[in-house]
This record gives sequence, structure tokens and C-alpha cells, in this order.
Amino acid sequence: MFGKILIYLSSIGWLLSFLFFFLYEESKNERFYKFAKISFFSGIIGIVAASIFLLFNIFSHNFTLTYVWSYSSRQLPFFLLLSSFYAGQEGSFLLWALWMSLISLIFYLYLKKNKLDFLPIAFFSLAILFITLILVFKSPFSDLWESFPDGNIPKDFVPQDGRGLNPILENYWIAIHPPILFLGYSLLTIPFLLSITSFWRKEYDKYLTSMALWSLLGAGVLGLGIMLGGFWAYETLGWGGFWGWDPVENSSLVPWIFVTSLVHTLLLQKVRGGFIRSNFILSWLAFLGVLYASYLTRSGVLSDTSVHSFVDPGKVVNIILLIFLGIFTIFPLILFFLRTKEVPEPLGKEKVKFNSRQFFVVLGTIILVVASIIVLIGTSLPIFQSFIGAKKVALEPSFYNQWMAPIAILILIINALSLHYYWKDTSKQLLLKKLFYSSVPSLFFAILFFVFFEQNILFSFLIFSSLFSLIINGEKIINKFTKKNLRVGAFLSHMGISFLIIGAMLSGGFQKTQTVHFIQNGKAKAFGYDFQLVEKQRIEIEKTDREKYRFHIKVSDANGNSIIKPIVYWSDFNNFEQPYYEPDIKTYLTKDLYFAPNSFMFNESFAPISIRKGETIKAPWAETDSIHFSSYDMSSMHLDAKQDHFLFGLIINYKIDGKVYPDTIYSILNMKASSFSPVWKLVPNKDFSIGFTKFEPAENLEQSKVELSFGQEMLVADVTIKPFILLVWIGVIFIVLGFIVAVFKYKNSKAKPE
Amino acid sequence: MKKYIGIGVAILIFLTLLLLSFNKSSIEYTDFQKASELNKKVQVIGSLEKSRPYQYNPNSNLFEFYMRDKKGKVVLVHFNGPQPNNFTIAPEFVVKGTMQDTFFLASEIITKCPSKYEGEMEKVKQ
Repeated sequence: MFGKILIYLSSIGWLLSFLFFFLYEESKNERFYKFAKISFFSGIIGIVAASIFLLFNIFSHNFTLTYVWSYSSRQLPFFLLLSSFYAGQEGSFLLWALWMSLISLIFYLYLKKNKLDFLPIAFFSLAILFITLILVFKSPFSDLWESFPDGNIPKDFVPQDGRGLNPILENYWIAIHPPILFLGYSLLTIPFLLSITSFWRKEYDKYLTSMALWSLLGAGVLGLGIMLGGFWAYETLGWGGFWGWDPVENSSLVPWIFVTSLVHTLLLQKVRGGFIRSNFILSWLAFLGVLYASYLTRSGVLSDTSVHSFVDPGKVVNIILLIFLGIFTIFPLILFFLRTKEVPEPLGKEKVKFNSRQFFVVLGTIILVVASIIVLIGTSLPIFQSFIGAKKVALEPSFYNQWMAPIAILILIINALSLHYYWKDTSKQLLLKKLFYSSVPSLFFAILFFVFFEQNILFSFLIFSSLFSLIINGEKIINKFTKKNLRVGAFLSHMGISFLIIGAMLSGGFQKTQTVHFIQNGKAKAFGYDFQLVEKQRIEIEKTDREKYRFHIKVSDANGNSIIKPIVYWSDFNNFEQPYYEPDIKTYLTKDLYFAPNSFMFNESFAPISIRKGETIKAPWAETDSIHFSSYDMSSMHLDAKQDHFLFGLIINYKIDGKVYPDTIYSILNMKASSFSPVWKLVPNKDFSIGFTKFEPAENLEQSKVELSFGQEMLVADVTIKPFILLVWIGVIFIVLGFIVAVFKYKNSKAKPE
Repeated sequence: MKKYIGIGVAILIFLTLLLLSFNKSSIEYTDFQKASELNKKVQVIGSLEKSRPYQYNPNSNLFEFYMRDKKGKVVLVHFNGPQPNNFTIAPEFVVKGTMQDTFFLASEIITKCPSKYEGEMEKVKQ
């Protein structure tokens, strides 16, 4: 109840903050300012307190709350409990509200310090109001009996333990990727609100520096958040790649491209003047992109076509999201059309000259916008189709690849050309000389690639354009450094784009996959590597909700041996019905060896047999062989300090081809989960294993029966070679670094409003 | 005026290309009967025919099973890979691929995990 009250109070705070800041800025009556401040801070405090309260409930395992019960459990370590906060829909809305609140506070202080208008805070409050309204209807603070009204649950019912996190999310990345992504989303609010304010106030140049600063920051953080998700998917989720053109991924890319375009048009406004309407539209689209992304991912409209599963949050929440989207679509549009005629054109009708950097930046920005429109249309296609009642078709990733490859080439070439020109105009002679040095080596490598590797024109063009852009950007950075000038953000980011695109092309276009399988300690070969399964190790044995195995696989090639350790596990989460897998990667400088298990099975070789102590029976594989069960082995029983696990052994003697082989076979008895998991052991001279699979107790051990099973455990995995994927990560680092450098350089050069 | 005509033509060309590539990159949901008539890559929704054998042969990396589509037609499906996750417990799944003479050659199998998540109370541990 307490949590809900906090949310209610906070919504009232945000509503009043919107009204009072607006009234204050329109009337400049100091009394309104006082009220505005009080309601603004109570809005923030409400959200922060609600967040702390939710964390408190998670850490104190208060399973009366449906949310805490659904997404956490007593077994989770600290950082996963922290992640439970936003593992579900309700909590992710709260995280969004929390970041928005904290950013609005920082933004408020920024405006105050720079003596700027508080009007953006009014609109900021309106945006946060909508998120808190969603939290009113989709609350993380609902009790179990409220969430399940038909379940006849008593109000004081406390479950012993929670459902826990989805096991595939139990990874440190869940503590990193979502918060950064949401921070990026939230930051995109600021350039938009500054645009609105500048149009409202008719002060079209006043907010240029502030907008540039916050857009750069937003683009950097969001870009980092997106790609950390890609890295997570690649490294531990085993999706095979870092990007799949999935609707959810796309919907995070769209606002990023818009804000990146905005960064460029803001630059144009700074060096040339004008572009005021473009800035308005782009900042608006970036913000709408965020709202649209949350609508797409949360509303369940894409649940058929996306691998990220999201459940429909219910009608009310969808309606609030749509109103939210609607208001922030219509109101800026009206404002835009009211003002569009009076927006100043500082240079009159003077055209941008073709032989200037300006021209190429304009061109590049247009291409960027086209790119994001293509992604947007492709992603929204299922919605259009269900809207007009047409048959739903799924778009293949090839759709995006087809479009984005030529767009990437254009963007890289335009970027490279732009840097050959000066901002205003450029003499032909100098231009040709510069062009020669940067294009000839790029052309050389592209032709080399075409002749010796693959006769693919698209790939050759990608190579040429990436190198072309890389060389000129690199030269610019060196130039700046020699002049002790650190304003190299743009060049760093563009170099990053080149690396990223070459890396994506090589790792995606030239990847090769082979399927390998291992039977017990078997061997396999793929791509000139020898693989041998050396050990199947039970891990996290103290956790009773899972059965997790780490496979140690020796990889040998001409240069030596190494071990890779993919994981296969079963979880309580899906009643141990199907295993989950985690890949392992061996990284070389020029490629990744990606080892992704995708099946683990047991093939029974013979029917199981039952046997009592002291008995001898015929072996199922040959009439002449036999198995004698001589006694139980309980000498090495305890496996851990808690004494939950027992190692239960059977001492047996095989008689195979006239020879006797003594052996002990074990099973791990888990007292807590009452599970019985055999430790499979190869039968001497055979290619299948024996397992102690069942114990049927009787009055005493002498009369009890044990069951022995025979078969082969088989691990199937895809081995993929990913050439030069390292370039992708290097590219991302450069891109993000570039944005950060640009933010700091901006701050150092012009901290006050223009 | 010329400028606007130019922009208009550019947008038209762009939209036409976009529509054409939709057709090329999108694959239709259909049934086995239609799939054999179409002779191109399609996707079919259906369920596993459990009464008939289904097995994975690791040596040829071939998974064979019989699948019943929504119209009740049962067809042998070949898939070059192991049995996917959740395959036997998924009430329905989608295969993407092309119809061959005697079997459907799937390039991808998409299984949806039966949602045992929202609104289920049995799992509350007492």
C-alpha cells in the first residue's frame, strides 16, 4: 500500500509541477515558482522513494508483492536482486520514471545555473506524469491477492520463495545493459524539450549549445546501451550475432539515428545558421522514437514477430501510452505550423554551395533520416498489416541488409568527401591532391579484395568506402593532435563507424558454421580444429533450483591447445523440461571461434535393468557378458558443507569377453530437491555409458533394487568462425568515445548560453 | 516548382523500391498444400505429429519429423540441425522453408515456449 501511495503522490506532484512551472513562466509570478518547486521536488522524491521501497522489498524477500514474487527469489545474488527491480514490465516503467526524474533534476539545476527558462521543466513534468500514471495502473506494488482475484488467496499469504529471474537473464549483463539503455532513452527528452521551448519563446538560437550538449550525451549513452545489448546477445545468450534486425532492436536504433542526425543539423546551425526547423523536427522524432519504442515493446503488438517476448500489459496501459504518444505528436506539430513562417532564415535564400562541407553534411543527414525511415517502416509493417486486416508477413533480416549496405556505403563516402572540403568553399586543386592520397589506397585494397577474396561488388564498395572514410578521419585526428587540439570527437566517431561496418561485413558476410557432436568423451573436427570433450562438470551445486553443467572442451590447432567451456543447464523455471545453453568463445585477433551448444540429449542404447545387491545378470549388449553388483559405496557421501548432496555409489564388476573389470558408478542425490542425477561412466571397451538412474528402496538395502541404464549422452553444438568481429567492438568503443569527447569539448569551449 | 517535382519523383521511386523489397524479403504464412503450389520460401504453422517417429541423426545432422498444418495435412519435414528447444512441449511451431517433392525442407524452426508465466498460481510455493 505504501508504495502505491508514493506513486499516487508522485503523480500529483508531477501534475502540479507541470501546471505551476507553466504558470510561472507565463506570468513570472514568484509565488507560482515556489509552488512549482515544491511539487517538482515532491514528484522526484515520490519516485525515488518508491524505487528505494521496491528495492527494500526485493532485498527483504517480501513475496506478498506479486512483482517481487514474480521476478526474484532467495537464491539470487546481490546484483541479480538489484536487476529484479526492472526485470518485469512494471519495474521497467519505474526505472524509466526514475531516470526521467533524476535527469529532470540535473536538467533543472543546469537551467538554473545557466539562467535559462524553466518551461522545459513544465513539459518534462508532463512526460513523467504519463509514466507515473502507467505505474498507477500497472503497479509493482500490487499484492498477490490483488493480482489474482480468482485465486482465493488470503491477504496475509506469504509464499516461501519467489519465481526467480528467467535463467537466461541470470548474468551480470542484466545489471548493465538495461539501465544504460533507459538512461539513453531518458536523455533524448532534453533536446526535444529545448526545441519546444525555443519555438514557444521564439528564441530560435538561444538553446543551440544546450541542445548540442544534451544530444551528444544522449546519442553516446543510447549508442552504448544498444551495443551492450548486442554484446550480451553475442557473448552469453548465444544468439549467434550481435544484431538480428529484430523489431525490438530496431525500435531502439530508430531514435538513435534521429538524435545522431540532430547532432549534424545542430552543427550546421552553428557553422552556417538556419536549420532551425530541421532541428525541431529531428529532436521531436528522436523523442517520439523513444515513446514509439516503448509502445512497440511493451504493448505486445509485436509478440508474434519478435524474439524478445513481451506480454500485453492490458488495455488501460496501452491507452495511456497512446495518449502519451498522441499528445507529444500533436502538440509539437501545432506549434511547428504556428511558428514555421516566422522562423528566421539568417542567410536569406542563399543556397548551400555544392563545393563545401556544408553540402555534404546536409546530404549525409538526409541519408541518415532515410535509413531510419526504412527501419521504422520495416519494423512497423506488422502493425500496418494488422491495422488494415492484411495477412501478416514476417520481414527477413535480408530486407534490412539489402537497404543498409548501400546506405552505409553512401554515408561513408559522403563523410569522407565532406572532410576533403572546407566549410564554405574549396579550391579544386587542393581538393584533387587530397583526394588522391585518401582514395588511391582505399581503391587498392578494395580491388585486392575483389580479385583475391570474393567477386562481390557490394563488399568491395563497402571496403572502399570504409577505408576512404577511415583514412581521412585518421589524418584529421593526427592533424588535430599535432596542434594540441583535442576536438576530435566527430573524427573518432566516424572512424568507429568505419570499423563497425567493416567488422559487421566480415563477421556477418563471411561467417561459416559447422555442426559438431560429442558422445561422452568424444572428439570432433571443424574448420581444421580438433575438439575433444574432456569433462562434464556439475557447477553451482549448492543451488537446488537448477542442474548446471560446464563442459570442458579441448580445442587444438597447429598453434596449441586451449579449453572452451560452454554451459548446458536445466532449471526449475521451466520444470527442468528443456535445457538452456550458454556459448563460449575463443577470441583470436582475426576471428572468433564461437561454440554454441544447441542440443543435449540422451540416446538409450538398451532398455534399463533392475538389480539387487549380490546378483549377477546378463549384460544387455551380449549374452556372454555379465554385470555383478557386489555392494553399495557410501564412503564419500557428503559433497558440500550443507550436507544436501549425497554421492551414492554402486560397486560393480563387469565381465566382458572373459575379462573382469571392477568399477564404481555414482549418482548424486539431492536431498533438498529430491533429485537423483547419475554420473554417467563409459562401459569398458564400449562406446556407451552406464548410469545409476533409480533407487527403489525396500525394508533394507539387501532387498532394495537399483536401476541401471545404458546409453549415450550427446552434446550437439554449432561451431562458427566469425572473422574480424573484434572490429565491431572496437568500432563501438570509438563511436561512444567520440561522443564523450565531443560533450567535454563542448563544455570546455562554451558553457554559457549564446 | 521543378524542385518539388524532383523531390516527388525521388520519393515515389523510393517507395516503389521499398514495396518491391518487401515482396522479396517477406515470406508468407501458408499451408503445405499452397506451399507445394507456390514453389518458393514460405512459413507454415502447425504441430508435431507425435504418433509418427521423429528423430535426429547426428551423423547426417538431419532431424526428421511429421508435422500437421492447420488444415490437417501431414507432411514429412527435414531440418538440417538438431531438435530445437521446447520442440516436444510447444503446442505449435513455425517452419520456414520450401516444399520439395516428398518432404518439406525447413531452413528454420521457430518454437514458442508455452507461456507458463502470467496469471498462474500453481507455482506459488506454500
